[in-house]
Amino acid sequence: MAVVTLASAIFSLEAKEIVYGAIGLAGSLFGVAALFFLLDAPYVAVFQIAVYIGAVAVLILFTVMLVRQERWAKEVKPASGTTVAGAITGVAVVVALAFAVVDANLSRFDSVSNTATFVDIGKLISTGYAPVLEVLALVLAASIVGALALSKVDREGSG
Amino acid sequence: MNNLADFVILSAMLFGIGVYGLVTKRNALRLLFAVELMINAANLNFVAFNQYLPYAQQANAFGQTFVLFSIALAAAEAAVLLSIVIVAYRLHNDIDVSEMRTLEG
Amino acid sequence: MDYILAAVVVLGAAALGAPVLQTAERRFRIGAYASMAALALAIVMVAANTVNGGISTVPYFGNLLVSDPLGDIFALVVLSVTLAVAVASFYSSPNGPNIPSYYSLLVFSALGMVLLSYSADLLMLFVAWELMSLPTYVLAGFDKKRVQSNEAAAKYAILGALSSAIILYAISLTYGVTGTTQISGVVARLALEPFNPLVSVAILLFVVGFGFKMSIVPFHMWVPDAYEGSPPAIATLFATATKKAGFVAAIRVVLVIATVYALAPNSVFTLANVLAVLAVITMTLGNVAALTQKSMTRLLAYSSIAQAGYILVGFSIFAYSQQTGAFAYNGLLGLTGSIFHVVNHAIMKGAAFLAAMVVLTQLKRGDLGAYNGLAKRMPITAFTLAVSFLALAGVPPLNGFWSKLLLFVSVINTPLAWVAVAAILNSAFSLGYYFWVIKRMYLDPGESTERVKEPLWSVVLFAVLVGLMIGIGLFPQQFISLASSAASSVIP
Repeated sequence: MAVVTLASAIFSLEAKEIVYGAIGLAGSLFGVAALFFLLDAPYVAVFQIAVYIGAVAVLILFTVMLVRQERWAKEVKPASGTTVAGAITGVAVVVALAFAVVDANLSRFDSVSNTATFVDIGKLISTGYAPVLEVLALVLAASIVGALALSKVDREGSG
Repeated sequence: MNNLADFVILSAMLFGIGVYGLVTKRNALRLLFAVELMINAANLNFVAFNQYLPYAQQANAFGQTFVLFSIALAAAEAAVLLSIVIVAYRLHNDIDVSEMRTLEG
Repeated sequence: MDYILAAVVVLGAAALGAPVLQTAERRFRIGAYASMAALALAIVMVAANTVNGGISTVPYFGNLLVSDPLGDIFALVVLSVTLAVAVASFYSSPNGPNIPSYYSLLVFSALGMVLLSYSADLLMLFVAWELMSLPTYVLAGFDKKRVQSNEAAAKYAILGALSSAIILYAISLTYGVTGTTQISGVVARLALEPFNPLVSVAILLFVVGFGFKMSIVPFHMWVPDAYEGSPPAIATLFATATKKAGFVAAIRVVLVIATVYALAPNSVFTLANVLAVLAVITMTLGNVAALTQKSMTRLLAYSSIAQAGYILVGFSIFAYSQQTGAFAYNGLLGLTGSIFHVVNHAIMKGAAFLAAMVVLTQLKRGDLGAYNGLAKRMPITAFTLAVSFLALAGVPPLNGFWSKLLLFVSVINTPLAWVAVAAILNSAFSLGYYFWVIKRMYLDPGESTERVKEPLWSVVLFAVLVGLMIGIGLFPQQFISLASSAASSVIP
């Protein structure tokens, strides 16, 4: 599962056609969802599939197909120096984090000890973190207002 | 894949791939992909820590709850970013950031 | 009586209500009036909270939000700036069907910044951060017919999304180490923790993530483009409000963690040194780049970057004093200076940006050539710009002088004195381009000496802002003691 996740993550960035890239992204998101299942967190996994893959990835895919045209196909090839620099930065980040993980000796935790179910999640959301949920609702409202204001076609002379 | 370190290192690799994408790509949509990968890396961290760590028991499902919030926020963010992309498309049928030369550097 | 909650409810209602008025033709003004009234009401409520010391009875309040002087100061600053921006856009932008959405998004963003200022939990902080950021991406690209506006929005949105992703990752690591996201809980747990590299990585990621909004070098590349491309009123919002939100988040997270936790077990790679180096790079690069700019907005953008460097000086000495246990007084003085400078910067930069906006809308030109002989054509605007530049350069007795003085004095006899030397050299250097623009306005001949109309709203706003700059400059004690109480509320 880890291999699938990472491979499709790289594919999503490196695929020649951006449509395949979008599909690669969906694959990577699906891999993460599978990892959530492995981690014994089925509710989050289903949420990931429903919202992330079902809504976000599909939205991205539609936008990609909508804006894809002849000019679109020629994606500028980055200078090889940029690719090398990017690879070095990425590897450096991974190595630094990996060192930190090893140093913190996280491998001593080797069994899933949590038995939280969706009931616990529901309790947490509806009691202690209810105000955050309300703020989240405001964020979603703001994004709807914003996205509508931007993507709506204004009639001539009314902009 | 049977201890916490594996999951956290996997998430670090996902994060690293996102960083690589951000440094090398100039296309608005590819950059969005890279950011989504980084968000997913963080989400994976949350769930892994929540499931493995003993002290996470106090607030039993907090890490999972945080992931629900962050997925919803990522959806809102993607919607706004994509509407900006669509406006760009209408303006000049092209959304390569490197071709946006009107503003200097 | 819970003032903050009331302010939040008022802002939320206005933000949600304004777009509903969109359907009715020619009713757009109601949405704008409602938004401005809500902002003004929220300012009154936050002020009442400041005066009353803010004790709250709402459940969960202490866990998710905390009412302290630090939050009060930042909430007041961001609300006032947003109100000024709303007034400025009301009179300068053309009317259209999307105008109610514009005010709605402004209020949403202001609400996000208020919640961010009071956040006591990383989950709340993150959601508030998004509530602040998402509307500003849209606002940057609100001028749909202009390519520059769209590009500004694209650049700003991608880098904004990146910074949120980095902050999210940092929060996940913090959660992994401490098992909680409540900032007080994190601090209590980290105090027991020996050196743990995961925490150090998390702190550095926090600095990077907040650094994008604070516009510190090397995370500043979006700033000049976003400021220049966005509608001018929104550029004011970026420079004076969302940037301040970055600072309050950094104080709430990075500096609070720094009170108990050192970045590394040695004395070279410390948070104080990291911040000090960032501060020096930021102010130097900002000032040098500002000197070469030909457009007023870009000059202001780079000068805004340089000012972020000065603010970081106070952060760095605070981190130093907390981690070594020495120079406790200097640390507090430095953070006081930082907070005071944030307030001053909002006033000075707000005045400068609004003046530049008036010049842009009246003369239809944004390059520095438009400012030749401005004193004859638009005397009030030119005077405001001159006063705000003098304040930015730190000329006494204006407000910028006092906060810079606090910042420089706080580091002068500590091991970080080299930062003070760099900051003073930078300050002297920056006088160059400020005076250069003032000379253009007052001494150089312009293309004409004809009076250009200065709108009434701008005259009123400028009078208030210039009054504040001179007033705070003459009587700084009150403001310094408020900033000082905010600074001491950071130490747990």
